[in-house]
Amino acid sequence: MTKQLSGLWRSLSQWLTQQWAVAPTVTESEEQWAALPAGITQALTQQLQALPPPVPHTTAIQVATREALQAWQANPETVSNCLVVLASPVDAIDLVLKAGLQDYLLDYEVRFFFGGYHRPPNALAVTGHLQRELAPEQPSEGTKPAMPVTQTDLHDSRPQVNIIPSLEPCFLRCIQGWQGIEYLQNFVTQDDSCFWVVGCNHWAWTFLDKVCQVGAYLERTLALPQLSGDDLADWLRPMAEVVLPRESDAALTLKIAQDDATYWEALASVSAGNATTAAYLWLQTLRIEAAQLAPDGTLPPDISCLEITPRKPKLPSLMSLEALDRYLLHALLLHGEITRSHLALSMGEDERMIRSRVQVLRREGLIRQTGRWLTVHPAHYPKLYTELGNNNFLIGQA
Amino acid sequence: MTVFPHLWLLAQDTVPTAENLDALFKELTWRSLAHAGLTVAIAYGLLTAIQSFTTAISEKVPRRFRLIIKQSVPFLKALVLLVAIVRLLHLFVNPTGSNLLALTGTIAVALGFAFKDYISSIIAGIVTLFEGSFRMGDRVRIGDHYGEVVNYGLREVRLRTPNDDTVTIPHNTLWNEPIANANSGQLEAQVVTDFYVAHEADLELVSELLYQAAYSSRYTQLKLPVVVVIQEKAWATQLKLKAYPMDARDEFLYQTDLVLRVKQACARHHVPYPQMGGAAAAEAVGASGE
Repeated sequence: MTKQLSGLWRSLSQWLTQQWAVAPTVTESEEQWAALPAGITQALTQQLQALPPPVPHTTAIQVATREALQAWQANPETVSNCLVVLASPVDAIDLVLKAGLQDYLLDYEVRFFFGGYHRPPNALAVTGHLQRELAPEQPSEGTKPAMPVTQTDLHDSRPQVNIIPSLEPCFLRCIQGWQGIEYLQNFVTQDDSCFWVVGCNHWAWTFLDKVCQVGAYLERTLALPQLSGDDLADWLRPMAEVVLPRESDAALTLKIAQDDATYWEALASVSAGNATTAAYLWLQTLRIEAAQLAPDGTLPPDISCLEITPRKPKLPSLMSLEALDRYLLHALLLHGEITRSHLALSMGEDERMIRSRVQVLRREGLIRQTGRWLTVHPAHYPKLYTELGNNNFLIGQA
Repeated sequence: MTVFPHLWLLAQDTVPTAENLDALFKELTWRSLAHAGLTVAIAYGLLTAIQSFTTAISEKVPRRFRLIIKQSVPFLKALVLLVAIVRLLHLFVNPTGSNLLALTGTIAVALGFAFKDYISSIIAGIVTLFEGSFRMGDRVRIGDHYGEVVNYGLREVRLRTPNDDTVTIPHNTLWNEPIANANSGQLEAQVVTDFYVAHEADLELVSELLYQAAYSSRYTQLKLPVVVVIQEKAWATQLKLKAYPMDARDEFLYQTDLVLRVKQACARHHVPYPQMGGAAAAEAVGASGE
């Protein structure tokens, strides 16, 4: 009880500090810096999205997969034939798994399922899709199950590793919306002829563990490690010099200062070591000297090299959220990416009821829309994590 | 019988007489009167400020902290009152042991006749405060009234009912009335929602739909258990879905959401509802009245 109360008071003081922190005053030295022009920010965002995942993440996946595989191969009857890799809801776990395992398990037959799969309009159809993809041919009655191939045999049959990069598209929080997950967990545990690697976000995993005890079936998990300042510096090093081609003029070279160790430590601290959040915060800290811009605030046409300096990283402020906003953001973080109609179905609301709040949250920058898909902006994730946790929501690991 | 002479002697000591009244009260001056007025004004201001500030701030902070702030209100108010009373006594009374005894005896006799119910309410309020049978922010049923405790005053407690009425209940009612507390200082309170299906319905399916309705509702506190209880009635099978919303304030919205989800799913699976007529209908009406 005392521990609970002290935890509550600590959270309250943290929340108050976060809420009432004095905004830094704009000093004269700050005034000499200007935000990047929108075109350059957009180009840098594309470059960021094309970056390979951080090495500590791919290494952690490779090491954990190798260990889990060896343990299963040594004792296929008792050791779980599955490894679940957990990431934050704003990390693209499918890309990390692909980068980590595609060309790594050369002595295994690696198969990726549901690459780029999106939740179908009828969310209850997921189970059918899983059946069609995973078990296209139903074994007839009386057929003996295949013997597990755990070692390369004389016929050169290699052990098979099946990878499902992301679980989130396979469920929706509605009645019978996680039948697909129940099918999958039964399928994986019954079919011990191959090894499975599954990606999922922490929040979805915590939810699924509550509603269908997925952790009891797929018990071995790996949480992607938090990144340190040095890890972030190494990961974003390719961004130190970016060449942007221009249609009419010579290419524009962006030189981004990267040698300040305290900056990277501060970035790791405010992003809680979350790679995607850190990348977007890094982008938001980039400034150019106002003197480099033309008087109208645009880039001079003859400029060929632009010096960019990262300023002190800080989390963007969070708007005052209504109760519906919190439910909406929780649903978004739970499902990773989701369409508006699925969001409405999951929340038990009419679509037109949530449309206005989605618009407000988009305008405030909390939600991004890519095509029909809505996601939470990674830069807001740390504050949303605290906000939803303090509002009694079931949340996963940060 | 032998104790009576001692009591009589004690009464002689404690009842103030004309000779010792000077010693009991301090000299009344404009200065002390001004101090007393200032003390009362400050105490009143502080009590009002505590009520307004905590009400405003508790509705702005995240849910987790709302009840902590609300629960501190009665104690803060009691502290202010205590300090104000001590200050007033200090201004007008010489605070020796025998003086205080004499004064409290006199006040008790006077108030006992004039403000019996008022004093009874104040004492009941203090006792309830320390018994902790309910706190600010709890959802309680006192007698026929159900609602959230929104104010804990010196004499009364105020409930806000689901219809947004405010019910004032004197503390002395609590001496005799049972108090049912739904959440006891926690954010969550169990909500029980009844569903009825025909006897021939697939109960395994309906029970599973109820579990999934609770798990899929945005209001559900998934850290707490969800339970479905089935009972046979003469006219139907009754299923009780017991689950907790994340915030007890949402209990009616939560029930609405659960009913909507379950009815949609039952329609999809063609779950039969009870067909009532004649005696069965009368029995059902009687049961719902219970």
